[in-house]
Amino acid sequence: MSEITLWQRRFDRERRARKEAETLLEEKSRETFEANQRLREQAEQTRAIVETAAEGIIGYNQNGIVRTFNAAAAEIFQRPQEEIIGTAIGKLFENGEAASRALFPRTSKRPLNEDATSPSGSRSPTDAVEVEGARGPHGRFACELAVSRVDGQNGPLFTRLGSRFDSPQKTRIKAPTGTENGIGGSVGCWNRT
Amino acid sequence: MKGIVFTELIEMVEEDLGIVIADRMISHSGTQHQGAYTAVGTYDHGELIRLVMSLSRETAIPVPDLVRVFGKHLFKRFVALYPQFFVGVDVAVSFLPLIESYIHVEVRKLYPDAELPTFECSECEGVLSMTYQSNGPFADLAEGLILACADHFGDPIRVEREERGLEDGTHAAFHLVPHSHPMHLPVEPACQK
Repeated sequence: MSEITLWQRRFDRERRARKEAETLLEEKSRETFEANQRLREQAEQTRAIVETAAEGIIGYNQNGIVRTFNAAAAEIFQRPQEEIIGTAIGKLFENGEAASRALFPRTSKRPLNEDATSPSGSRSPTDAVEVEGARGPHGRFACELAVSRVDGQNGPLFTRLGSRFDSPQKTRIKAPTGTENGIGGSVGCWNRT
Repeated sequence: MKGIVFTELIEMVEEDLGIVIADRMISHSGTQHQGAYTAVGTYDHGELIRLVMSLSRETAIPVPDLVRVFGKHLFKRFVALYPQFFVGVDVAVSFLPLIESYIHVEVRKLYPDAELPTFECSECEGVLSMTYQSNGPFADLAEGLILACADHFGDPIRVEREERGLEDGTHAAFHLVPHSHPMHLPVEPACQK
């Protein structure tokens, strides 16, 4: 077999491989586009739910910086969203050991509800801790926070459940909170009037 | 099996043995794809076996030897193609456990359909033992990869292979024994599970 024929055969193999790679790339691109589309729709849906929820929902990262603060939370804490997002969550609560333990359970000596593991690996909310919410220099209200944990793919997930008792109105507000994936966390409150 | 294994085999044969042998290996292998592989594709591992058997016929080199040599070549290519997996690792006995816990995890993110072997690692008295299991009979390939890994890091170790299961190359244990270590195989009972 001549060398030219050998190189022609090799070229033919390369060409067939390239076509297959192009087909695979097209498939992957389509799949990625569709997955992104689904994610966008889910994100919009989640944003709409969070934003229109009657419950106050606060999301914050591991450094305690607020990332999500919905309209109901703004009403509960009587602070505008734009003032709170990007600031420390500690501003929303009176300083105290109970608040930081509830907000950052990993730093506490004993993680809240550490013994409440269900067979599925998730942990039920328990051990509510009462903390004081802050509405500014003069407004305070009692708030109960508890932590539940779900073991996710990328590490533990924490969800927080809190109950708030709005003293002036005697309104009870329950607050479960979003999730923390080992990096960040979220706190949510909902009105249960 | 991922296409990169096929493309690297053909490239190794072309570089080391020439285009004539590579062409013969492919044309006499009776494989479905006839040498047209793309690195991002997925193919039946039986095709690789047929290619290596064909190469063995062409070169009169035993299949296990060819596969081990290919394993060594493949490791060098992995170092060149994926340097990020080698950052911050200085010794083979630190790198090899990462195959299962880190590299395969990353591979699965990109290629959820990838059929990967498992490398279960345990350490006892300074000896790292890796238990290899796969759907395909590629313990020789794993041995070549491990040997090349030890060479790459310059670890003063020898690799002892212990056949497991049906002794068909799908299941084997590799013990990485420091040169200074007095241990002789089979593994001491205290180290066995």
